Amino acid sequence: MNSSSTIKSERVIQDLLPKKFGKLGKIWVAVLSIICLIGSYAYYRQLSEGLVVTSMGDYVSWGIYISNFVFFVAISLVGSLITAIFRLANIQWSTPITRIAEIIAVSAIFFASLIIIVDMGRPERLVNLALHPRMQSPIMWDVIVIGTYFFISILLLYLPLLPDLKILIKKANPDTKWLNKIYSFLGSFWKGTTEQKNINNHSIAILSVMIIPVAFCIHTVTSWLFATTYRPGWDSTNFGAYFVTGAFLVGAGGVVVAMYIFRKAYKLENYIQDHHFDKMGKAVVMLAFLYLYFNVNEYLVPAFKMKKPEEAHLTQLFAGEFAPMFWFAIFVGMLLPIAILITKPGRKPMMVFIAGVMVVVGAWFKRYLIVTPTLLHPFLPMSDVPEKFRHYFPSWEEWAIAMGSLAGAMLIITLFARIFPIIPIHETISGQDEHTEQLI
Amino acid sequence: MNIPNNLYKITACILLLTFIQSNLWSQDETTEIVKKPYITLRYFNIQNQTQYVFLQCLLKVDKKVEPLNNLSAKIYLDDETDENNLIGNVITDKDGKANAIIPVAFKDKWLASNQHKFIAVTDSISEIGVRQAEAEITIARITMDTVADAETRSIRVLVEEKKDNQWMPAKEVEMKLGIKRLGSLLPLGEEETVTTDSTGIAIAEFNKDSIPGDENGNLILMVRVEDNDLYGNLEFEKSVLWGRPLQFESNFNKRSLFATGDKIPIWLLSIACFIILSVWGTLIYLVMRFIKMRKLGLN
Repeated sequence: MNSSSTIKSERVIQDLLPKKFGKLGKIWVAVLSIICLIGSYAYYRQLSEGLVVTSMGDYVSWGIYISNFVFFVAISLVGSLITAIFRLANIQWSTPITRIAEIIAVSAIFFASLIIIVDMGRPERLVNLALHPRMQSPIMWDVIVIGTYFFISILLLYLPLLPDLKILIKKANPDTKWLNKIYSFLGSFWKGTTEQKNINNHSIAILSVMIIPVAFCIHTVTSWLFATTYRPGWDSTNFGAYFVTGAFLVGAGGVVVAMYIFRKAYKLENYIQDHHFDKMGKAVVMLAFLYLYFNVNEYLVPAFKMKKPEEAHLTQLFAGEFAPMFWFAIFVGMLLPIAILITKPGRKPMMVFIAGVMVVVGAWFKRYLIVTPTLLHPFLPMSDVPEKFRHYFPSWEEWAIAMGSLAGAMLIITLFARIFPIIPIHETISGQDEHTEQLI
Repeated sequence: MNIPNNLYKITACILLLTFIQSNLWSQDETTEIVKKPYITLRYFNIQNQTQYVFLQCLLKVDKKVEPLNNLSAKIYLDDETDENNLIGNVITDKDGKANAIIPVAFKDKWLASNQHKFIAVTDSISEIGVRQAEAEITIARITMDTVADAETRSIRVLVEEKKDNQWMPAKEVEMKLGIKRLGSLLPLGEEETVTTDSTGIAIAEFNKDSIPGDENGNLILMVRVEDNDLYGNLEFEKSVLWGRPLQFESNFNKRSLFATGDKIPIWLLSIACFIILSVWGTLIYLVMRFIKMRKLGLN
């Protein structure tokens, strides 16, 4: 390595080393922590009082919790999209965003698991899954596949981090001893020998291949939780593909939002550049078109037939109680982002960020629409149910827990960026060296 | 052209039309709702042992027929003016139906005549008043016998009516004959019914093999005269050992998708185990490689 490249490397390391939170960062962490605490208190109330504190009942037995679960599962797919698919396709420009994608995946899948336990009401009953497993149930498949995906995502986050941990240990700041202990615990064994590198690269390659079918499974099995139930709106053979494409879209939307925020917060303009937004913007447009196509299939075909048992459900979505939310999800979650991102000026960082926010917000409401209206319109309605069973609006406890889980996921991402480099340092330096060698 | 005058005429026409139109509508609204009661009385003789009278009360309102439930009625034998002939007071159920068994105390009156008349007198029905229904019958009985040899099996049904205090053959009586099944009769052949000859007998061949019976192979043969003008409703049934013994095989404890966890289908278990073992086997391999990598660094 010549002196100029050493200087460049030093600069990259200085740029990308984790930094203490500024004033805004501290406020952000405080706000997220407060939301999490409120959510925890709401969960404490739910534990002590029971699920009666929620608005769920005999009709809507899966409410905002399961919507949130589906949202988390969906956004977690981004880990496999960016890390695995781009890595296997040898797409070099994705290096700065791989770790962002992976930490989003890990935090999202972690909270997906938690929110399912919250929805159960009695968390200790989770043990029954191990004591009395029933492999015929898609719920069991979901638990297994979520556990597997979580483990693979953790490995895919950790293994590429090892070379960076060596740098972090080397550049240890004496003021932050607790951080140094974490770095030593996680990466003190990494010497960067050829054998270690070979094992590490080989492991990452295997994980990259493995995570793709597992990621497809997690979303397909989650869709089967619905599709194997005979209900209007869920009785569809299209559901697996519909969920996978929706997950790709919201995952890509989540990444562009995180990219923009990290770029602004840590001044990473030299690393997360405009062309990254341009390329991710194109990916979002393609995925939005794909998801729109599946939406047309999901809604237009049943609406064309308008079978009597499905009529109430579809009418509520298109022109009834849920119509504002439905059209909001379609326009804000798909059509407007397409309109923004399809043009080159629309793929500037700020515009991509706005479109990304739209995609994520639209996607959250879309999950709510997948779960709730269907439950309100069963094929076989119960007789003489109280009027309140026919409507659902989450209680404050449900809102607090759902928002707390979202805040928790963001808090994990934020704290991760405080402890570890959010852009892979070693891979960036290697990439630059390769680029320089190619120029020479 | 005198515009104000024309305007006056046009306004008058519109008002007139509106008036006619509103009258037409109002005519519709004031149409009287037609109510028509349907009170029917039927006689049943089951197994030549139980005789009862069945009352059904319906009310047709416009084009819709509704049951007259909770309606009281008195049922008499032969003469409604004599309270001694009162078989019983009945109250219709939610379907507008009620039964009255002919009491043993009526034996003498019953045997005194070959023909009888049943009269039902209802309580006053709202806007309609008291209604009455009648059913006349000749006392009849029905019996069934079976004949079986090595090759054929046949059923012989005898219908008799009471004439001059004697049982005489009832001719040309059409009846349903079959195997009693849940809620219906399974016909023995292509024809659902048989008819008695001049001797009051009807014979039917039993050609069905392997009809599932009960656990011992018992079938219940049933003959039923339905709403006969002379005899009312007669029923008789007989158990015969002509069926195939039913061997119930429960699928409840077999391996299936809807069974308990320990009864998972083998194919599903194999696929699940294969996938889980392949994926987690690879992951365990990677963990072992990681441990090796860690040891390399620590050494």
